[in-house]
Amino acid sequence: MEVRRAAFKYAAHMIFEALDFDVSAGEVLTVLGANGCGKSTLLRCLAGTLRLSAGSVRISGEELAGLDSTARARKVAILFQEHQVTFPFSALDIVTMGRTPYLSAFGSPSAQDREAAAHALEEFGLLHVKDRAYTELSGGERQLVLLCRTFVQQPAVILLDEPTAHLDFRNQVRCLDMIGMLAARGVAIVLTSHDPNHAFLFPGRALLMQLDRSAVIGAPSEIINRASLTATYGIDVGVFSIDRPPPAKKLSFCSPW
Amino acid sequence: MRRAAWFAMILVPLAALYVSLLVGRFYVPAGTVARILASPFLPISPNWSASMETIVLQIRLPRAVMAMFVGAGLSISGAAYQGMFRNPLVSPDILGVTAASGFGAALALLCSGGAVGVELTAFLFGILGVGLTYLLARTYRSTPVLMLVLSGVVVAAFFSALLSGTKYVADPDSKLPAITYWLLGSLNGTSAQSLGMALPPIVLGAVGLMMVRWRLNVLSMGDEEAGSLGIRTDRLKAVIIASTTLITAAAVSVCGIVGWVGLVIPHLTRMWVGPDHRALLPAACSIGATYLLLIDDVARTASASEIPLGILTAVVGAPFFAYLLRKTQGAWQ
Amino acid sequence: MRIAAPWLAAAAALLASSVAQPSAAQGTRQVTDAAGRVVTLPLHVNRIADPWHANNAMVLMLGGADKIVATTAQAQRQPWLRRLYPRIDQVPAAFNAAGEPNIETLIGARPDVILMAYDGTLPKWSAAVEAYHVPIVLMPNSSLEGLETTARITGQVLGEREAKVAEDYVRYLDGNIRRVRSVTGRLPANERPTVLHTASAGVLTVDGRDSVIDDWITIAGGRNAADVVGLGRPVSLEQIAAWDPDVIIIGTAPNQQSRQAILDDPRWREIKAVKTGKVFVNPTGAYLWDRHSAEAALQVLWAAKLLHPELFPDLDIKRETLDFYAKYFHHALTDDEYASIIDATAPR
Repeated sequence: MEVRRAAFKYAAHMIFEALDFDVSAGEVLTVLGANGCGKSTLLRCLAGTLRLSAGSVRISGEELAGLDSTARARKVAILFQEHQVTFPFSALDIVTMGRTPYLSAFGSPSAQDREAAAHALEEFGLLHVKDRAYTELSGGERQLVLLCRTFVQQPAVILLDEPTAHLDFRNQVRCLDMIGMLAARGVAIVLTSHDPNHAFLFPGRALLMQLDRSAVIGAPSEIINRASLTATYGIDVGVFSIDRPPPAKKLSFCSPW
Repeated sequence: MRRAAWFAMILVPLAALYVSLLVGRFYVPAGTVARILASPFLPISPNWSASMETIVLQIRLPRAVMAMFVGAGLSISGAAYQGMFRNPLVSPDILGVTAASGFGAALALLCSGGAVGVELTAFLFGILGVGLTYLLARTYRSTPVLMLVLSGVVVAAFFSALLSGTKYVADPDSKLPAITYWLLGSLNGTSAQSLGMALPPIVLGAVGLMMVRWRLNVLSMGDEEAGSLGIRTDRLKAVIIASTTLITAAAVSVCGIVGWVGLVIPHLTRMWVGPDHRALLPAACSIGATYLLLIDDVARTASASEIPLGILTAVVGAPFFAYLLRKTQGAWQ
Repeated sequence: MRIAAPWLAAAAALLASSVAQPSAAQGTRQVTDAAGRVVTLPLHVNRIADPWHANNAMVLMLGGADKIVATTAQAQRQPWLRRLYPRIDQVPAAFNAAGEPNIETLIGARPDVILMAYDGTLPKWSAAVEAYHVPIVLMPNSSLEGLETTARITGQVLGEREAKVAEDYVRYLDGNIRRVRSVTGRLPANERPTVLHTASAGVLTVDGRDSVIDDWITIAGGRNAADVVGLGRPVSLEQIAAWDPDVIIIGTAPNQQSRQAILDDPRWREIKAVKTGKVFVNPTGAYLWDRHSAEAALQVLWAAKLLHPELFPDLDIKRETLDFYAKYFHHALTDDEYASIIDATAPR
């Protein structure tokens, strides 16, 4: 994904401007920022749900704005923070919905589509919930099922809006693990997070959206430091690291002073 | 769905149809009914009176078929709307088709229109009503669900007021009772002709809904999410609204106002076959057809005077719905 | 004490007279209406309000139409009433189709009395009107016998002249009933044709027992085919086929259209009345003949002649109608006009 000079304005209010960055296959871009700084808005612009006020987004060389919704859905998958399921579809049904962009106008999923969905559930260790009602699953299991769905959508880019929000600690880890697995399969991932620690967990860069509406992009180890975090969150946050015996890399984490 | 279930879905309504042809205030022996039905296909010499043949073929058969199509149509419409609005408390009236149709019919009755005139006017006004709702709800290239609901309330209220107006000026000796009874709902006026007028829009609308069954599943996740999966939500909603309006306007135009079918039957069906609209919509058709057929049998047979259909469906439907609510405790398992 | 005694006696007499039966004050009279109420009216009634559609024609017939100061839109719409009494158009229509008044229009018309049909309960606006000291007189509306009472009470309320006409009319109505009954009263059940009287098109409703319709069907020598109670009951076609009436009388407007629709409809084809061509339109004049109107006197004759022509060879409906209209409505009917009444079409 290539983003050039992206800007978004809401009424007269500039949310972000002059954003330039690339996300390549297998890379995870973690977008950090305080509440209300425009992380979700940025994500929606990258998904094509909102139209950019200026600039462009290209995926695999193609201009996003020029694609119709079906073509777009084949390239970009997005998981929103708010999620409402009224009816008790089975987990398999939910994952199968990921195949929708590949169906004809009035078609239904074929047996192959369902198999692909079941296969995905199996790969990510979720086969045991296949036939259970989605509404009966725990929050963590639901999130994992949704991630499965994004995988089945076979997009080039997956966008995740605070995927670990509302999850308990265990499920947060499971969720982050799965995101890593998805990246390992060659998908480009952009995720927003309220927790700067997430940036250190994945291979890729971080984008800090700061309180003064400017943005900093770079490798987490380089750009995430006390100064930049203070500029992002407005509180005093320190970055610490723990050495571990090789071949494990140094472990970095953030904590308020 | 399992094979057996599919068979049942087709056989049960047909069986109900046959049974319905056997009952009525005019006595026709069961054997005779069978022979009358077979006579167009097999060489059977008639040993029944012309009256009996008229009763079975001209009065009971068209009426039973109409009841089935109206029941199926209202049920599939209710199911589709419940999916589209993501709310199991929605009925097909929500966008104002019933109120507008009712007004159209009352207007035609006021002007002494014949049966055909009343049906046509009711149908056209039903379409007009929903058209108004849709236009009112359209906000910058999209039709959000909330706007649809609110616009529907406004349009329905408007046509209800106009309807009250027609009742106010109607001649109390002949027109007012006609309007009142029409509004209470009845399949009394069914003829081969009205069947020919009502069936095409109902079938057309039902086919339209069947074609988008899977997409309805996705739409029920929410506009944004469905959009992210590649669905043109505004187009899909337009298709669904157009299809259900064809069905409901046609149904109300021949049958009056029959409530509680589009609300209760989808619920019941969802409890049996699950929320997947690929199974839900056909099953709702089948169950709805059988249900309204049996209710109409009671309406026309229980007493010398016809019991209005709308009263029966409410008297049966509302308590049954209350029972369903208690049983599921509000969840749709 | 002796001085007080005569005063006491006078006071006692005064007291006694005031707690005795209330006697009519100067310039008023009293009428007992159908609800058993004793209503006090002025000696001379010159302004009446009539929310009862059919009764307006009755008032015209009794000669009191000039006294109508408030009427209903429904009555005004009757083509024949307008032809016979054009002034009705100028009378304010203070009452709507359901008989409810615009109180201000009503009171503004300053009626001396309101004449109303009584169906068992007082209307809810009666209290408001009585606060303005406008008396309401209730009259029966559910049988032919009640019609006689209605005519009498209406006449009584209107005044001496009208009361005399009312007596005359009641004698005529009674005479017609008796005349018909003397012939049909002897008819056994199997010689009485079954008659279905339809009340509305659009949704099929019929009129059953315990109604004025049932009354004249029976008097005319028929039997009501509809085995239901009350007016305007919805029935299914199958039920009508099961009843298989000998005669169908269309009491709905537009009558000719409804009649044609029935004759053309394949579902009605096998019913006896349709097969033998005995589907008739009920005449409509100053009001619908069949519905508790003044012309009920003609209705019984017409129905009798319809059902049993051979039993009434001397009965000339046209003659009777012409005479009735001449005597009571002071109008000489032309042939065309008579035809339009019998056909229930508007006068040309």
